[in-house]
Amino acid sequence: MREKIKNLRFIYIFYFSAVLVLVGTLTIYTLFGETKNYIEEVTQKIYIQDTQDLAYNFAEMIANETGKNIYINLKEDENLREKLEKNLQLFISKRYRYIYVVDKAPKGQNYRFLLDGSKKVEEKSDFGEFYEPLHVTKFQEAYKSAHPVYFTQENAHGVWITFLQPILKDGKTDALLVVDFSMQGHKLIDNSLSELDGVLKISIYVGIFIFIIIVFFSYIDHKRVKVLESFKDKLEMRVRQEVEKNRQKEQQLIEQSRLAQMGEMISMIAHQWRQPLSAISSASASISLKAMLGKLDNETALEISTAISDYAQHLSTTIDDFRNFFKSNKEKQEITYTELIENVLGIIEVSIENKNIKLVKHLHSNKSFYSYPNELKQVLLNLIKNAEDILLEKKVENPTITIETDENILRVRDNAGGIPPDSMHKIFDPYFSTKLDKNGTGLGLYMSKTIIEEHCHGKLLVKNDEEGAVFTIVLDGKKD
Amino acid sequence: MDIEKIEKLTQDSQSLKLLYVEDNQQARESTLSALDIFFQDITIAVDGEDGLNAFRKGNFDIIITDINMPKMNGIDMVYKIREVDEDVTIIVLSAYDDKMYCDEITRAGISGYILKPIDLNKFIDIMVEAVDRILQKKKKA
Repeated sequence: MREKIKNLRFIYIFYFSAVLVLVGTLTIYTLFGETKNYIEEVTQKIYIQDTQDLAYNFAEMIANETGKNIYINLKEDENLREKLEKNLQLFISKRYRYIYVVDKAPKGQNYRFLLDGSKKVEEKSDFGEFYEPLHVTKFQEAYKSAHPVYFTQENAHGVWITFLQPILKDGKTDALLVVDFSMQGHKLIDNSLSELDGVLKISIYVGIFIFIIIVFFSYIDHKRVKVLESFKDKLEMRVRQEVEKNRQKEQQLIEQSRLAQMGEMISMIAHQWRQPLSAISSASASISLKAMLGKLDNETALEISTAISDYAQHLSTTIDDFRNFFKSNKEKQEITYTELIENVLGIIEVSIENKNIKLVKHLHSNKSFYSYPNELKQVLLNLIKNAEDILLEKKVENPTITIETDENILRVRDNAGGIPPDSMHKIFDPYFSTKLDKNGTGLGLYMSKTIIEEHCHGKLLVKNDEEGAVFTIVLDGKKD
Repeated sequence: MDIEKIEKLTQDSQSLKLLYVEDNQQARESTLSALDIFFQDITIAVDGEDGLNAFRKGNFDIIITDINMPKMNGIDMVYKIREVDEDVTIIVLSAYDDKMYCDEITRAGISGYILKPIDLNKFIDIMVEAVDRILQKKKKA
């Protein structure tokens, strides 16, 4: 679940950054568009302002230098003309291409040159030369209004602004100072800005492209994550199913092992009961026969019926022993190994003897300790049963099971040749069985180990000696 | 139950020599109390080996034996006896568990198989049959 949230967050961050990139680019572009216009406007204004200042100064100067009538004064004073033209000339540059002064010709629409700042002789107009401006209305406007007028024109040399500054005498326009100046510098700025604009436009496309790619990959990633998640879910479900299956299988095996244990118990009861039942049947046969033949005296009848009653008592005790056997203890009890062993042998001894297996006991421990007797009995029974099974399976000569105790140690030995080395490490694994018949569930030793080590906090060990397998129980026997 | 039959059996069997082989004391004692009625001369053996030794020493008309016994089991004992005596009547008295040996022991040559716990009627029938055969053989001889 947490993993899921992480993934989702990751995708949202992706989407968010994609949108951010796009919005950022668009904002920058919009802002830049405005800034570009502003820069253009301002530079143009500065250009014009500069020109206006310059023109105004010139107009002032010329007005001051030329007295009442410009035309007459200049016509008469060639030196003044030359001096003024030189002044104008100083300002001719790539930017200020033409600076000249015209006045209205007395007749018609024409204008005539009064001063010309042009340096080159071929470009220079003579004093009094008539001049017909292209935008004559602007000239008239400037003349009439006595205020500066400018207009833009474009030709092969680029963009030009023609600035018309009236030269005033007593508040009336006497002549016009004309300044042609190039807007090329402005154009350059403009061009750079346009280039920048182009770059921004491209970056918008790139932004959109990146956005699309991010969205695309996010989508793919999202899908992939979804597929992975569904795969994970499926896997988890499979795992759960398998675990459940395993659990059921385990349950089945435990059930099977319980059935096998019960089967063993019934078989043990059968062994225990066979002889007493035979004895009872024989005794009853003998009573019947004697009665039939009229040979039954009181003494014999009493003797035999007492024997029968004893046998019946024995049967009853056996049943009680078995019933107690598989009850599990809730609290620890004080016990000794000898008590445990006698108890277990009471149940299994007949069965072992019937199979002609010799049982040897070396009991040297009289120490009492605290533990769960029924659980320990189960383990002991299991160990002895295992020994019995392997002895029968291998058809060992002089089959012998030896039970030894010493202090807190109990050993069960057999002489069946020992556990094969390759099975040794698996012997306590659940479901591991070497038994050929179906009774081997592979749970006996596993459960024994669990009981001894986890329930009783002791140790269950195995080794081989020269004769066979040796299982060793070590208990600490503490009260808690 | 046919009392006459039992009475006849009791009379017929008295003269016969019985070897009874059984390892379990309880079973032995209670069975003996019934066998006492039929046989006066009973030799007891406590396992197959003991039974075989007793058989070699005495001259028995009938052997009644358990199968599952320590040292030597009933089957092996029967085989060993058959090696030296093909005629002696052998009856097996054993528990259900040993039924699986039934075929094997029949092949070894036995006259009857009585299951424990004892069913009196079957016991009588098998005994009558066996005793009759022994007596007929004795007459012929």
